This record gives sequence, structure tokens and C-alpha cells, in this order.
Amino acid sequence: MAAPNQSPVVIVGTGVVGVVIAEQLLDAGIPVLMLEAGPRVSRAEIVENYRNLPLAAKGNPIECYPSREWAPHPEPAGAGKGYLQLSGNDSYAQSYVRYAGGSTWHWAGTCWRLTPADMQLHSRYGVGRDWAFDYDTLEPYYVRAEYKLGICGPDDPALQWPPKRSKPYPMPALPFGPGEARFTDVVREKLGLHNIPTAQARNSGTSYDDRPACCANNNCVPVCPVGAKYDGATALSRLEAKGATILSNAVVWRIETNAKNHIEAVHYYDQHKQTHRVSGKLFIIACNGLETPKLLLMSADARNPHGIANSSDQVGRNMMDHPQITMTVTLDEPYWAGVGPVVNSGIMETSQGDFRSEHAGAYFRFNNFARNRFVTFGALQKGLVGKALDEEIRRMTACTADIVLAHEILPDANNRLTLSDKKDWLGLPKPAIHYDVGDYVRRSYNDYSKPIADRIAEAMGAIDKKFSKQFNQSKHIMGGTIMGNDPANSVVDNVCRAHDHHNLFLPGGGAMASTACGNSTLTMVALAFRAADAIVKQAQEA
Amino acid sequence: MKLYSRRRVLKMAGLVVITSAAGHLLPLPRLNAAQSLANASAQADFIQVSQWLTQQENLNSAVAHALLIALNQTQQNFMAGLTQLKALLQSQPELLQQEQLTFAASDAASEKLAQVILAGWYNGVVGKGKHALYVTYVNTLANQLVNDKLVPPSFSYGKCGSWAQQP
Repeated sequence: MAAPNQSPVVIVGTGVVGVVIAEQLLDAGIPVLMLEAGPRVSRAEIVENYRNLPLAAKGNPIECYPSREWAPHPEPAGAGKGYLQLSGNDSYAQSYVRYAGGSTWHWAGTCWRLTPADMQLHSRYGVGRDWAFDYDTLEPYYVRAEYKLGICGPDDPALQWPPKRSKPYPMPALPFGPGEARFTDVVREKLGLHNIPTAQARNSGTSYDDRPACCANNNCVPVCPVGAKYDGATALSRLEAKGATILSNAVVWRIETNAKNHIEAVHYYDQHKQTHRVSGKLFIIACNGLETPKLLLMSADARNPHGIANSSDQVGRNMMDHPQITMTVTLDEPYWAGVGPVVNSGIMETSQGDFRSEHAGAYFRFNNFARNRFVTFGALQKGLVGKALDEEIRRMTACTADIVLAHEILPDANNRLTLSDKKDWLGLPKPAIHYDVGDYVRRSYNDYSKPIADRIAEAMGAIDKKFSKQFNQSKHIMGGTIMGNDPANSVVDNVCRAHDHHNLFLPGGGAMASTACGNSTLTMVALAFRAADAIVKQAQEA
Repeated sequence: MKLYSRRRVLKMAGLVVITSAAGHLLPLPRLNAAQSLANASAQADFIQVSQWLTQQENLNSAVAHALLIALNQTQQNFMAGLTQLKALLQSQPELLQQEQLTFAASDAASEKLAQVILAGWYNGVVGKGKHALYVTYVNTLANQLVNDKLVPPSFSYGKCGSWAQQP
């Protein structure tokens, strides 16, 4: 069957944002065509890839998602090697998945909301930007997002983040593993800090959304073997059953405008380098925080010489993430990280406060990944042998832990994605990103988050601690198509519609005007619901 | 398509892969030539040396067989080196009374080979870079050592919440 060349609504990207919007449209009786740059694969294939990886590579969440040549994504080798062209004081070395289902294939499922203060940094603290609307406006969309993804979380408001919410989580919180439980106790008893259950897109004790209950494979990242964790791929078959057309291996490389400067069509390459054109009435570009601005910039034309949706010159600017430092502690008692889901709790209260006028907030997370795959190499490198080797691996597996310090960051126009002169297999420019976490983050680490981490290490009884030498990325891509009410300094309006093009929507993390400290996906999905309402209304009016 | 180097590694690894849970060697015809190197005598020597280095009596024989084939393919003059290492450990058993492998300078090659053999048993990979061969996952000693507390990631603990008790 020939691929369709037109559809009322064309969605570029099959990640969580694309599939959530698609389902809202389908439920409203509006046909959609979805284009995905990468392949569509089975869960079993990814699990098998993971199990067949050398032990040293198992810690890298991207390793079991090899790029296809026509759809490279950042990875250490293969088609994705050198895909991101990086410059600047800090590295914006993101990883994401260009497969049908998108990067939720390998997310941890963490679903923190923003707080009211997180959305008003400028008016409250004189830094960053305010959102185009307040928390109360976003709250109903958070609820819809939590029920769509299937979030488990605590019933007790004192354990919720933030406590201001209108509806309970659809499922109860997951229990802590022994390491997290011990961590929770010591930070509460010795520091008065509250390590609270993570709201997470993982089924607790019951099936939900045709997915089974979590059985703790400790492998949420890079792939849940049983699909207990939400990922975009779990929704694809349901979308097709509702009438969606999904084309994989379709790399959109140009957005075409018409005389009214509306979007008329998109052009894509298939895996054989053949180009195709798809026209439509409404277009949603949701192919992640890097590929979306890249596509907009690639599509510059006579009417839009700086790129689609870019009259403000803000496309590709304000690239954000959650710069993180990892503290690895060696303890004098066994914690046994690695039992249960990989991320199950966090200290969020440290992300808030008037100090944000001076420096970033931070949140602290006990990483619950099994440790033996990390410590075995160190024990071997020490030259140990026999029982001494066994004892060292056991001791280090039980008595080491990673505590992650995740910071918020401010939007900065100089943190910018542009088009590299280096080309990929299709001859399309690779993304180039210049990045610096900035003094707001550095001050936080030096004066705030590291001192707290030092106290946490002491409370845990650490006999040794090491901090990562540079800020690492959290793979939470935000800011490249930033939202605002003023078309002069933002790319999309308060429903993620491009200021410049009435029939173009750019929902997702790129629209976020501030990052807070917690993971961005739930907010991205809330924005997707808000955009979906506007898209449905616009489609029905048309 | 230009092959991703680790993909190539994994493809090669398929020749010697151990099935995940049962630990049985796949009966691949292409292994025949390599397997001829792993004769009974060599296998016995390899298991003996491995038992000395790991100080474990009950090493998985299927993993041993696969490791032996992989070592043959990745280490130059492996059989001669194994013979030399065995003779050294036999003649100087005190070397294994130490916590660390510290051989005389003249036996540096044997020390290096001992470390390669240990790495194979503990992390399931033999060789480095594009010449590395993946041998096993769940049967690595790194997993076996903690299997009273942890299951290998991607395998289940059981019903929801079963992980909450102190190991």
C-alpha cells in the first residue's frame, strides 16, 4: 500500500508528546498521520540487545538502541557517533532515541510536577522567565497526564510533590528497596530532610493501561522488559486500532510554507533516501527538544529566512537540562542498592526557597541501580584474586551508592542549537550545541548543593566520597522552542502554537520556560494535553 | 551499511554466546574449528587454572568451555600461555596466598593472562575493543557473587513489592 500523501493532521514524532496528542485527536474523530524518523522495534529486541551488551556498556542507556543510518541519534559508536557537535564551557551531551515510541523507551518513569514557584522565577526571584500561565492553569492538565501515563504516587499529601493537587494518583506508591529505605531514614533522622516517594509512570500492584504491574527488573533504564513502565511504544498499537497511520523510517527534513505563511506540507526521506511530500491542515512537530529546532532551522525559506517559527530568533536558543553532579559514596554498612525500580524517591524540598534569586535549587536522588556491574571493573583493576576479589566485589556492591544532585538552570539565549556544517548520512546538517551551565548553577553547586551532599554523605556514614568532575546531562531537553506571550522573545504561545504560523504546534519540553529540578516529562505531557485541546478545537473549526 | 563496531563484537560474540539462564552452549556449526582447539586436556587445564585464580571449585563448565574458545580467539599463543601459567601456579602456590596477583617481572605475561582469565569469569567479556568477545551475562561471577541479594538487571524479583524486604 502506498504511503499517504496527505492527512488532516500530520504529527512528526512518535514519542510521548506525539502519541498523547494523537490519541486526543483520534478520540475526537480527527484522523492523524504520524511520521517517525527511526524504526519500529519490539521490546524483546531491545531486551535482547541489553542482555548481549558487554558488562561495561550496560550502564549506558543508549547502547541497546543502535541508530539507523538515516536516523542517527547520539551514541558512542555506529551511525550516531559524533552526531552532536558540541562546544562551550560545558557539554550538552544528551542522549535520546529516534525509534518509534521515542525516548520514553529508556526513561526512569519519574514524574515530578513543577511547583507554583517554579513557574514564576522572574516575578518571585528576579531571574529567568515566568511562564505564560500559572500553576493553577496547568494543574488540570497534570491530572490528565498522570491518568494517561498511569502514575503511581503516595496518598499522603505530606509525601506528595507538590502537595497542591486536585486528584489522587491513579495508583499507590511503590515500596522502597532496602537501600532507599535506609537512605530515607538517615537523612530524616540526622538532617531533617524528607526523601519522598517518586511519582512515577510505573504500575504498582496492578495492571493499568494494558500494562502489567512492576516486578522490579531493576532495568527501567534502559528498557523495562515487561512494559510495566509507560513508554510511548506501548501506545502505538492502540493508536493504530483507533485509526492512526504511523510511518516509521520517515525522516522529515523540510517544512513547507504557503503564501499565507501557513504550513502546507512536510517532506521526508525514507530509508532509501527517496523523498516524499505530505500535505495537511494542521501540523504538530514533536520530535524532541533537539530534532524539533533542528528541523525548524533546516526549513528556512524566503518567507522565513531564519527558519520556520523563528521571527523572534529564539528557535534553538535557551537550551536547558538539569545539570547534575553524581556523588559516589562508600559506606561502612551495606545498603544494597539495586533492589526494586531504579528511581523510586527523592529529596525535593531543597529545590525551593528565596535563595533562588542568587543560585539554583537542587534535588537529591538515591540511584537504585544494581552496583556490581560498576564496581567489578575497579576490583579487577586492583589486581585482586580469589576470595579477596569476591569480597571486594560484594563489599562494593553492597556498600557503595550514587547520590545525584540535579540542578535547575536558567534560560540563556547563548545556550544555542545551530546547524553544523557536518552532515549526516542523508546529507542533513547535524545539530551543533553551544552550552554553559552558567554561574547560577555553579554557585548552587559550590555554595548550596555540595554542602548539603557533604552532610548527606556524613549522615550515611560514608568512609569515602567522590564527586563527578563536571556537570553531566540528565537527558531532559528543554527550551529550544520557548513559550511566552510576547512573539518578540518567544517561539510558541500558551498552547504551544507557533507565533508565526497559525497551523503549526510545537509542544513538549522545548516550550518549557523554566526547568525546576525534577524530570520534565510529566510537564511535557501536560503541555501536550493543553495543546491537544487547542488543536482539536482548531481542527473542528476548520 | 557500515557496521557499528560493538555490533560487530556482538555478532562475533554470537559464536560463543551462552544462553541466558540455562548456561548451555549453543550448538553452532561454525564453532567446530574453534572447539577443536578446546580439547579435553586444554579444558582441564583451563578449569584447573580458573579454580586456582577464583578459588571456586564449582565453576560452570559450559561457561568455561565458551571462555576457553573466546580466549583462544583473542589471546595470542593462548594455549602456550595457559600451560606456562599453570606450571607457574603449580610450582609457586604461594602466589595465590596473596590478595593481589603479584608475579615476578619475568612472569609478567602470565600475570597479564591471569587477569584476562579473571576478567572473563567476572564480567563475561574476553578481549578488548573491536576484538572483544561477549561470552555470558547472568553466569558472570559478578552476578553469581551477589545472587543471594540481587538478581541480574532485566530479570524479575517477583510480585510487586517483593523487593521491599531487607536482603
